[in-house]
Amino acid sequence: MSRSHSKVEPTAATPNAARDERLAALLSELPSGAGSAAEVERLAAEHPDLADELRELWQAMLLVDRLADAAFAEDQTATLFGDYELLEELGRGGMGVVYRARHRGLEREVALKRVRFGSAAPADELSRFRHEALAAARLSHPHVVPVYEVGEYDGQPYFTMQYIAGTTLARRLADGPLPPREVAELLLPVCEAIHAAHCQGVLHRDLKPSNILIDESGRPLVADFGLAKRVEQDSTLTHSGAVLGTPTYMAPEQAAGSRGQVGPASDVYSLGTILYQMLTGRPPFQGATAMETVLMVLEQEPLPPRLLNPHADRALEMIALKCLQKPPDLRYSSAQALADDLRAYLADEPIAARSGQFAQIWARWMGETHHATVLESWGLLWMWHSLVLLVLCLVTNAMQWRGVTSRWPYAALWVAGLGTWAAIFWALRRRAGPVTFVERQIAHVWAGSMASIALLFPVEWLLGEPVLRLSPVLGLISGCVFLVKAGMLSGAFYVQAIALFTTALVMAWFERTNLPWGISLFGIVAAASFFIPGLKYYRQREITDRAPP
Amino acid sequence: MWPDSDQTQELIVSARAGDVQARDELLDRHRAALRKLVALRMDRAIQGRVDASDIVQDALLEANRRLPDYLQRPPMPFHLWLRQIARDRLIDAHRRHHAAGRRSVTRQRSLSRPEFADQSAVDLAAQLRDQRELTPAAAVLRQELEARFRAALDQLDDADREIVEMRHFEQLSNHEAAQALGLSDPAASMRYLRAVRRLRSLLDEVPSASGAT
Repeated sequence: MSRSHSKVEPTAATPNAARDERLAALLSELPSGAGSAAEVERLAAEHPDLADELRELWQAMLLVDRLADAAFAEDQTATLFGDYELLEELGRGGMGVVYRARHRGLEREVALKRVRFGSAAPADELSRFRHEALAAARLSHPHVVPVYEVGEYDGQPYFTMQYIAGTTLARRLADGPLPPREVAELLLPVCEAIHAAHCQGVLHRDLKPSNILIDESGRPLVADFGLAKRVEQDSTLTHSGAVLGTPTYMAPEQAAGSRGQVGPASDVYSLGTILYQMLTGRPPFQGATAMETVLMVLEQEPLPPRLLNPHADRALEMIALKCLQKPPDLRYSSAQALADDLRAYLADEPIAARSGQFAQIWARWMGETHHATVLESWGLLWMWHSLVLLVLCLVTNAMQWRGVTSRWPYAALWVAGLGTWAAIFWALRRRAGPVTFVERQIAHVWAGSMASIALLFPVEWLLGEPVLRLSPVLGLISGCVFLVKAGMLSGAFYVQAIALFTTALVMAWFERTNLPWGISLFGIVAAASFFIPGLKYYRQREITDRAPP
Repeated sequence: MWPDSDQTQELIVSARAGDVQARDELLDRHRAALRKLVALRMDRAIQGRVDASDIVQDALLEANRRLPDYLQRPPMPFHLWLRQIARDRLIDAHRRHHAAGRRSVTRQRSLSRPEFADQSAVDLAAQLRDQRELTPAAAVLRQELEARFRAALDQLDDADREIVEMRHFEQLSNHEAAQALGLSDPAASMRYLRAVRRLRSLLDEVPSASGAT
């Protein structure tokens, strides 16, 4: 039999070709796959001259379809996943899809989680998923959903865990807050489970109501150590600064990205958000977008639960708020401590959240805020700044001693000199990297102080006072600037503010007693105010830079 | 075989608006279809050496890389675009593994069952249809049929095989196939007609009579 056939596409030039075109059009009208017999008969009836060949070709098409199906039957079974049959999708999270599945052979029903294709960095995601699976598999606690198997099928890692028929805390809370005792009874075993995980070196990092399953007997079980990782391991997985987790239930240090110290206290915070929601029916922070929520988590204080739910229990409210402290060291020291407080509450004993208020307030006032890290980009600049201030003040004082009384040399020195330095300072700062919002705010406070200093000269002139008469005001202006920085960056700056305010008084006293040292004194105090923190943050920066990525 | 196109369209709109989840979902939901496509098209000669999942993974990575361009100016429906990428990956894999001379390999292997040598594929299919239950005999018959079918497919020239695979395996419509091949609709339907005729005559052949062993 000849195997050759024409490779030239037929044209409509011959009657035969015209017939072929009609036939081709009919074939392409059939639905993909070979269509139904009735459809073919309809077409055959409409085109009697083509009927025979149409039927014959259709037979071939049918055969191709059947054979294609038969030959590749094993590929059709999309619901099979290795040894498992996927029964239904239970939910999907940031990087995984969870199915209810049945193990073929063992006939056991499980929840199967497989990683989803991720756009960011599939390699990262895969290794994160493996970490998760292994971390979860290591845990064994009556209130942690047990992991059965960690495996890989078709290049996709997956793990299976016990399938819990029942509900989740998220669904339970959709109807509103729970009664106080039930809140404590439900959360207590969860806290203990988390503590047990911490003791085994595993953080959960993605605690939220939907990850707390409630089985049919009402027992809570923690699922989805979604972003769990070994506590003692270096945070290489998240060091890219990628923010992981659900921002609504995330601790500020997690929301802040790589800079934060994510640890057991971060899970305590998340437990606090869950407790808060159990009391009020809503999480403490919920913005319109994830970004907005992150900003709220970083910047805002949660509303007292009793504003949202007048019936919220006062003791539980204090426990929740203690968990929700922004600085990790102000929260419960461990999930166990939180559990202990819940147990004390259930036993009508005094809770620990009430005590230690003063120490907390003190620590909060004097501690660094989460913005303090911006100072690391400023360390070296502040040391230079202190030198500039010192030189400026000493030169000014020297001019005073030399008997210069004209206003212009001083005004020129301070306005032009300080202005030029400010321009250089800002240019250097910008070269070091993008300027954050907080830095912009501080720059404004600083600009305000410089304008005030420059305006002292015309004010002295208008008042008819000799030049430098108002120089003690320098101490007041600088003290104000540090007071603002104390609020925004670190409570340690209160020391500088007090020192500079005191300097203003001493300068005034010097002027009154005709001691010509005021400006130099200011120069020294102001220089020290900048140099000491400058050196501290410069060193801190060096340590951060040297740390492995 | 391809996932629902309305949903795909919605996901494309979300992905264009910068929704990362939608992007992932978009690629992820085509994984099974791509896997099937690759499994269908992968030459038996390289099947032992190359893993279909690797090709799918490669194709998805490539698609992810090129997705911004696609979203900006989609040249064709998404699933056609994706299958194009997978096809290119597959061709690369074949090239890398010097998968030449495949037809002779399959013909030797598949037409080696003497008991069916005097029957055409069409005859065998008719016999199979008569056997309602899956007996061992029917299983052998089916295997033989599959082998004949593979062989027939391999004997088509590339363009013909391509369009048969598109229409029957991937279940693309004539219009979609035309789009993917860069042909007009009538030209694609003509090619399909030619391919089906050729396939029909090949399946009608009786191996012992054609002289192929």
